[in-house]
Amino acid sequence: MAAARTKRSEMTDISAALRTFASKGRPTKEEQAQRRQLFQKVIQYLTIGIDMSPVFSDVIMNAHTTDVATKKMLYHYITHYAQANADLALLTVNTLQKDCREEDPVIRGLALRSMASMQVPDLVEYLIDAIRLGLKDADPYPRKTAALGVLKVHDLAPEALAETEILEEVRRMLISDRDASVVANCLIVLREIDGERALATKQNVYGLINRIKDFTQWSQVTILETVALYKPADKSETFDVMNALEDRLQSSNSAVVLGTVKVFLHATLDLPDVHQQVFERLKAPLFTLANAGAAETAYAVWAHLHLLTMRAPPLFAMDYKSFFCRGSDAPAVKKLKIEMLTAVADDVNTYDIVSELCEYVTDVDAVIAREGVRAVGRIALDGDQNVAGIVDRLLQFIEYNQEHITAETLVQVKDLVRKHPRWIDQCVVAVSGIELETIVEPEAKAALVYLYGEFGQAMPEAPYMLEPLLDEFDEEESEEVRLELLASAMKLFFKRAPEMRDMLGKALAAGTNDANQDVHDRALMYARLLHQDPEAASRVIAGYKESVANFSDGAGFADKFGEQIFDEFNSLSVLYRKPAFLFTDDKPVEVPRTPDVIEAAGGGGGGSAMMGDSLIDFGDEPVGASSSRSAIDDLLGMPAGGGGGGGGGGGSGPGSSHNLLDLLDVPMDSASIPAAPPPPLVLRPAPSLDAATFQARWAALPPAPGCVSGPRVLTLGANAPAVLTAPPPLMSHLATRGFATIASGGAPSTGFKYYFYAQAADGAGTFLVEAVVNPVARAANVVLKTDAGDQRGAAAEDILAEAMASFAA
Amino acid sequence: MASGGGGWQGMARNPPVALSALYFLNLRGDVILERQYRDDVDRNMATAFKTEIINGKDRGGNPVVNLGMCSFMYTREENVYVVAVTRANANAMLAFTFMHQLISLFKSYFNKFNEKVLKSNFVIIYELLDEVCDHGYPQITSPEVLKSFITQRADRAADDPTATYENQRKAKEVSMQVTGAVQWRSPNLTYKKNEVYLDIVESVSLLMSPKGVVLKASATGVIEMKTLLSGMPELTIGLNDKVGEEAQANAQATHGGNHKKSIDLADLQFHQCVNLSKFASEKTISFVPPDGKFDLMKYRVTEGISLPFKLMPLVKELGRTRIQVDVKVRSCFSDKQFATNVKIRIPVPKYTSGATCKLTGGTAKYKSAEEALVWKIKKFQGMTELTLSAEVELVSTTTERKPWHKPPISMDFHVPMFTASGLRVRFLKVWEKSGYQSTKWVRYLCNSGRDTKTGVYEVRCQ
Repeated sequence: MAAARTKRSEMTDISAALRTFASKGRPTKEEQAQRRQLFQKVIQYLTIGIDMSPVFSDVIMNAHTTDVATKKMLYHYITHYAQANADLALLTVNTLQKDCREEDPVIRGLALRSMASMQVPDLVEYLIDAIRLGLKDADPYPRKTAALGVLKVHDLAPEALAETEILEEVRRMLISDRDASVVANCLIVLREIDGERALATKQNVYGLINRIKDFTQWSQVTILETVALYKPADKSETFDVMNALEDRLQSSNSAVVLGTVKVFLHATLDLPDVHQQVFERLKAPLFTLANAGAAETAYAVWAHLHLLTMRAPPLFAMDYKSFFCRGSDAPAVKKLKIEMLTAVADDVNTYDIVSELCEYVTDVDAVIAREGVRAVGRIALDGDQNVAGIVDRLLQFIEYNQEHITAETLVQVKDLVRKHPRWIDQCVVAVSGIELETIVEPEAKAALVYLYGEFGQAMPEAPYMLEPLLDEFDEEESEEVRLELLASAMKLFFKRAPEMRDMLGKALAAGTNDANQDVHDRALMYARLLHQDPEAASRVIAGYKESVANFSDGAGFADKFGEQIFDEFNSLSVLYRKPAFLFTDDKPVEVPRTPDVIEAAGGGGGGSAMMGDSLIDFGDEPVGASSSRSAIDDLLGMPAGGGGGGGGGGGSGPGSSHNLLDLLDVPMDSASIPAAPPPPLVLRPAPSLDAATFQARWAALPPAPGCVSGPRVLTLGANAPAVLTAPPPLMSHLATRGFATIASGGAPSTGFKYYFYAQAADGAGTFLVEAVVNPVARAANVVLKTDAGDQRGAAAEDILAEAMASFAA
Repeated sequence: MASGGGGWQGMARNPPVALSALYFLNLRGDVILERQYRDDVDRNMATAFKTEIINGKDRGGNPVVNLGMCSFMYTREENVYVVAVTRANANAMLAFTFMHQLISLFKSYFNKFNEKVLKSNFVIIYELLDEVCDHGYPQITSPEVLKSFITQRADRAADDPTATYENQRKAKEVSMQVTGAVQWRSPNLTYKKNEVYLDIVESVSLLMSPKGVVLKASATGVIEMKTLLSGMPELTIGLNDKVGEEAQANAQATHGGNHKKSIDLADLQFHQCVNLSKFASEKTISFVPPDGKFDLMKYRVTEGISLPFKLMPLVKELGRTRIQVDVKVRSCFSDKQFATNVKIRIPVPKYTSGATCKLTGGTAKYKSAEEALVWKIKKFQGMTELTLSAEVELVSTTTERKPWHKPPISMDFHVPMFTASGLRVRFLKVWEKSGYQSTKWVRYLCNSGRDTKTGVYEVRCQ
């Protein structure tokens, strides 16, 4: 209370003092100094948040002061409170107008700027007059202030501005004003009002480039933004622009350098070979900026380097050492660097890069340590030939015995075995030592549970590892883990039924009572599937699995918007790695797809190929590989709708656990004695197999019954001699029957040789075929091999025979 | 608001301004000063910054955060957060560069930049904030130009009012100067004694593997100048860098070969006063300098770095409670030179109880706060070798410890009259039309990098 009273009385004192000074016609020097101190006090209170608006009228009574320091404070005060006191603000008009005609150009500019900053609609009329006057001022300082004033009027009352000739005047000044700072501000105004692309005309751009050295560094930034939007007509013009601006790359102002970089990149988009050279040229200044300067600018540069690296990893492959992390780098920078290291890894530098990444795994910052593990995992996942040493190192991380490292490693291992089945044995050995209870993070736990389920046949202890978790199914907090537990229990059941039977029963019972809809549905679906048709359940749950060709998660978002972010180079978009419309009020902008120039630079990994694609495009990847959500479905090994068919009894109501156990009991018995009649063989429409696997299996598998004693001779259709002049026609015909070609060759005279393969639609069996075809004789000598047993082998032979006979029939 | 009505706006995106408002906050998040440049952000943005960023979760050194469609770009200097706020897709680099220039502008005014300085100079700072930026676009930030634009004086706010007239007169001159041909220098300077100081200051950063393989070594350098010269002098500098040397060699082709070492400067950045076209054509650095201190040139060297020190660590774990640390440091510069204030930081585990060190020079101590042995050598002569041999005792516990992953050993030092790049000034010429003589001083200094700006001098342990 006391304080408030003092404040109130002080306010009264200030008010009185201001009035006294205002009444003095010609203050002495002493009085001027006192008044200035008084104003300082007012501004000080305003700064610390005390509402000084009660003395508004007293303050503006002093507006006629001739002391510039006091005047500045007075104007600062007025602009601060003008909007709230619009009526009173009008009282200052006379003084402001007078000051706009003051002899001193600094005062003229100050008055104009203050008037424009007040944002009081009633003042617009006066403001427009003042701006007219200011734009014609002989001194550049009021002129440049007036130019920006135009923008402020536009924000306040665009219609009023549109009725005047002022914008025309500004457009004229952009081209003709002698003074650089005035031109720069005209450019700013017109960019906002006319739109930035409208300004990037040849005349403007050339005019500005030719004078660029006259401008302050800040103005140069604006100019470079404008130039970046200009599309040179041809190659020589592109070079002219770049030559004129090349020395800007040596500016000490990072904003100028990055602005120039943008010009270079955008100007050469349509010239792939030059674009690539430009990348080379820009590296040095960018690395310098990234390694010098303040932490914030360095981060901004790394973010831009990250964008460029992801666009064309091969172009940065030689620079991988520049991406090594320093101990002192901010975690955000380390993260960017690690991602870049991952992207640029190629045949030559992978060893060094992986060695370096292994260092980060011991970082005290757990986030960085995990990034390190993830990066090694990614490289192992992407690599082909060179991958052996890398997988060893990845698996060694488990021995560090650090919770977060083990967790991240597990997630990577799970992805690795899904894509590269040849590492399964090694990975299974490494993870079988991990105690499940030491893993806490849901994602890692789910990964380990998945591995138990998937490779339980190779891990003797798998059921017993899962047992405690399945027993306490209700206690598990993460639904991700619960879902995975159900799936793994199912898979393991088909591999080791006696050990798993009770556990599975309990888990399914708990699952169907789960509060989570997904968990509940899945448990119910499994239960019904087992009840309905154990054989089908076996095929669905434990069937043959494709290895995943490509994981598209994570990179998808950046790829989707990559082109747009590149278009918005040198802005926050790059730092956020999002296009502007996602974090501002802007509307989404259609960006014309630019030709993918870097692709020409040599097989740029995944980074460049997908940029600029439509917003919802996950390509034609294997089922369910497109997001982590559907990755779970993939783990489950069946399409999401598969459960619907089994809906016998109970409907949607969650059955009691007793009921379920009953349901389970019946199928259990039949599960151990497979049902009699084998289903007819249906081949998968689009099988997949890589050449190495084909070779290995071809060598290992026995021939099918029909060709045990030598190739079986099949007959081709009647028109075969005419149609089959080269290998492709037969290949495309067989593809419609489910046989894909892995290799072919030969000539009409000598006959053609093919290697085909096919896979059973239920996953149980792969069929490999060698065929020597003589088109003239309409004969095909085939050898078929399979891992699916004689019965299915014979069935496949029949399909093949029918296919050959129907060819060119 | 920039996207109001009007024909073109539908197509135009928000043009990249630098910022809409600028805040200066103390470490608690209270506003010291604020300046609103555009109306599109609320005034209470500081509160959001306080709760989300100052008191929020660690953001891993990310200097930009988006909260409710508002972007906060910030940096910290001493005990002050400088925060730029915008709703647009701002030019982040412009905003950061602007904030840093603003900080150095304030430093040139007040010698320091901290909460206290801001509070005691708020009036002049408001004046400055008025001039440096308008409607979110940076305007004039050069201290030389601004100094006479501003009516108030730093720390002496209650100045003699007669000074204002002088200032007003000056201001007129300046408003001409802002736009003149040489915007960084006012024309009528006179000094009794004309002097030029030139310092080449390098920071060398190193990342070395335990086996002594250099993984990464680079030096960033600055040519810092201080000119106290009358009139409009033109300066020319020749360096022993490759480009300059080649030009020199061509010019002196008749005088026979040139065997001196030449330096490959990976990248150059010049102060705006340097005549870049002349550098491109004649390979000499010529310029009309600003008055007083400024950074003439920045460069980076990645090839042929002479490392001032080599360090060989050997860290062995002897059982569960003891670690044996042996470190050998050799100085690789000439024996006529000295390094000063050498500090070697050898990290040890958190649960260290103490250490006994045997040294051949300097002093070493275990500092629990730093979790390291800190070995200091005041003066380190060139071409000598010092060793430290320490036995580190660990607290014995029964619980299982996390394994210790020996962080790298880092080094701090100053080596006067040495450059890691080998860069030297070949000549420094001053020409002014009145033809006066000037005194020139050239110095060299090599520092260890010691932060994010300059990197660090690090050797990893096995």
